[in-house]
Amino acid sequence: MRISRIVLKNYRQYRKCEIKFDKNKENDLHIIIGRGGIGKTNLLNAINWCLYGDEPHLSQRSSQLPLLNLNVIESSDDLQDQEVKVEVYVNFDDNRSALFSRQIIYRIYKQQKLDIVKQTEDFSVIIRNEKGNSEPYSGEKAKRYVEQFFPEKIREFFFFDGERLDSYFKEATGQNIRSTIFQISKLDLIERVEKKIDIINADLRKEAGKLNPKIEELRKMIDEKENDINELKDYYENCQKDIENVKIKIQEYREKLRSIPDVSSLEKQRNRLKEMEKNRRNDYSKKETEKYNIMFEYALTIYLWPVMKKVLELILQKRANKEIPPPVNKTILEETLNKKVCIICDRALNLSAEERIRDLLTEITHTTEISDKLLMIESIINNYKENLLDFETRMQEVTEELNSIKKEIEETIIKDINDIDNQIRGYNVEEIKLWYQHLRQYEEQLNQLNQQLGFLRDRRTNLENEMKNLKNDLDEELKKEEQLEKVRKEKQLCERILSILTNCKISIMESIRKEIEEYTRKYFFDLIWKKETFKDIILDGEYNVKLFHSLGYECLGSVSASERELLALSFTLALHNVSGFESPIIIDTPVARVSTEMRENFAKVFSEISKNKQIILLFTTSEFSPEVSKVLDPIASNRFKLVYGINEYETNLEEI
Amino acid sequence: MSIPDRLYIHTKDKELYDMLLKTKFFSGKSNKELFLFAMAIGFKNQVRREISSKLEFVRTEYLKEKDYALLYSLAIFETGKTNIVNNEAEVYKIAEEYAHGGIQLLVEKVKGSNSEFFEKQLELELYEYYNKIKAENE
Repeated sequence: MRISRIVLKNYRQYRKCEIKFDKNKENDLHIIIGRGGIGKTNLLNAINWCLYGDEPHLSQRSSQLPLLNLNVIESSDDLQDQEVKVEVYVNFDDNRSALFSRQIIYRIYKQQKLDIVKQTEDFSVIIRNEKGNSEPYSGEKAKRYVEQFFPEKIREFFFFDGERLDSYFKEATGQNIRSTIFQISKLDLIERVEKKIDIINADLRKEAGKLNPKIEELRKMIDEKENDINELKDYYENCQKDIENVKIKIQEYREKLRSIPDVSSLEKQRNRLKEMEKNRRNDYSKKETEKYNIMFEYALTIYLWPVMKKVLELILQKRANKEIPPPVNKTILEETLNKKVCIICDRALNLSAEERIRDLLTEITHTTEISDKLLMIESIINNYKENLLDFETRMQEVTEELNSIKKEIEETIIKDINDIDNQIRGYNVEEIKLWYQHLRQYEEQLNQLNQQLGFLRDRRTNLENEMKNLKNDLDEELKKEEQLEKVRKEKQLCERILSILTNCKISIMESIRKEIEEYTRKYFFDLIWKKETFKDIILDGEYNVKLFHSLGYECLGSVSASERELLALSFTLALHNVSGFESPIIIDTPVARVSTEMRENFAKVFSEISKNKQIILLFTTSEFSPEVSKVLDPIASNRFKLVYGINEYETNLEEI
Repeated sequence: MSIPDRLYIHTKDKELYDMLLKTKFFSGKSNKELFLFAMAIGFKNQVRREISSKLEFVRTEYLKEKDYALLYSLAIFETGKTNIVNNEAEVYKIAEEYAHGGIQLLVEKVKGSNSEFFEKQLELELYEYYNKIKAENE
């Protein structure tokens, strides 16, 4: 299927414009180039407007303007009718063709104030069969044809806005992809059949209930249970949706934080180290004081050592001279003086002898005091001398301890702090802390949601078991009633069909998932310019697309815009391929998010894809760089340029 | 003559003692301990200075035998007489004069040093003297 022609009349900037997309080369590639604001995106809007009646890519500026061309309004007379019309011609591989056409007639009032009033709107499709016979359709039938060829719900998979391709996988969550696969693979048909049979089944239960009150009662209970299950199913799906969104957020933050240090825990570690440093410095200071006290204590002995040495020598000398202790016994003298008789020779003392003993006693008392003091000095100095032997050991011990603490502070603690500082340096710590905070919040939220999901799953299993029991009871009751045999059999048939349909749906979904995964992988690895960088692509059970780096980690969030855009395109092509849905692809600003150096690679990708599929690319002049032009110019079937007409309200198309 | 009940310092030395007490090395030391340290420094450097204006500094009742032993020894060393020990006034005077000389030297050393330099110098000096003592006794 390909678009062969688009005709626009009075649609916004396009007063009269016809674009023919003839395929005259190997590549079905068509390029339209135009400066910003000239109306490229409105070409995409025109197609959307023709097919679905809306303009999803309308800019803010265009949305404030009427659909009808401004120059036409200007040149119209009062009460004159003017037509806006867009026609899209489509050719199919089997020689059929279709013309989709939407038209609005406006009446222009100019007498008092300018007013443009819609008169009629028509949408029609003309289908020409392989024999050349045409059949026109309008209204619902026409809409059905649009749905057949360009299903509205999945239009984003063939009419792209390049600006949004970069965020494609953020918007295309598992749920969206799942529903797209449903649409694109026509699985919704099975679902519709399922619902229909379910209704028939309920009717059969109702019928059976009328014949047996107990059955009626069971039927009501089953209906209620079914409502509960459906209600729970909604909760379950919402919960799954929330989990997917939270997972995306977590993935985003993890990607963002990949190779960025966890500054919060580093900061905690740094604070712990700082506290340790403070404590150890405190220990050092205490140990230093201990050392100073030792120095202070020994300084007296060391500095006064010559004094001590000399005094000890003097005392020794005195002892050698028998000057200490004194040579005369003081007690004998005192007793002799008291008795007035010498207690050694028993001779009585005369006055002169008495006087002599008295003088001697005074002298001895004096000498004893000195001698006592000298003995005290000798003993203490000897203590000082003995203590001095420990000086070296004590100093060594305390110095070693000081060195050990210093080494620990400088070589371990400070080094670790510096390492952390180096790790954090250059990062916006506050922002990273906030990211980590968000990541942890989302992780917590995911935990809670998973718990909730588990609870809902258990609840659903219980309800389904209860339902199964009720159905068994109902079957039992039905068995009892001969006349209900027919109803029972029909009911059984319905349930069997339902079961087959459900299994069938699951199996189709699974095989489609695998096929899409394989095709996405094939396209991506065929087209990617850095073959060695990536390892694998997986579409997981929840339909989330995951891209794996060759080093093994998931990297969708951290790849370049061009790589992400390529993955989006590969995924789209896989969807088209698997569903057999061969629509053309139209991309507005296809390399807007792609860096200049990658544009050439990307142009080559378009070149490859356009060998098997029609691609219409709407480039801005700046996007269509020499690198892009070099690749695409030689292979493009058509190249057009959008230029202003008589003024900026009118855009014309020129072939290049 | 009665025995003095105080050890005196020069009036001007009070601020020097106060200053030393603010340094880490001498922080927390008593007046008696500082006085004895200054005395030892004075002796080691042989700086003995008369005190012209006296200020009470240490009550002798706080002196213990081990302190007296140092004061007496210094006096015996200075006079060459052992009976000086019975002349407390002279013993104290000798100690005070050495402390007067010592405290000034000490403050000069502390003030003239960078952080920790005084302590390092002191440590080296103590080791040097200690090693000499050790050699003498071997």
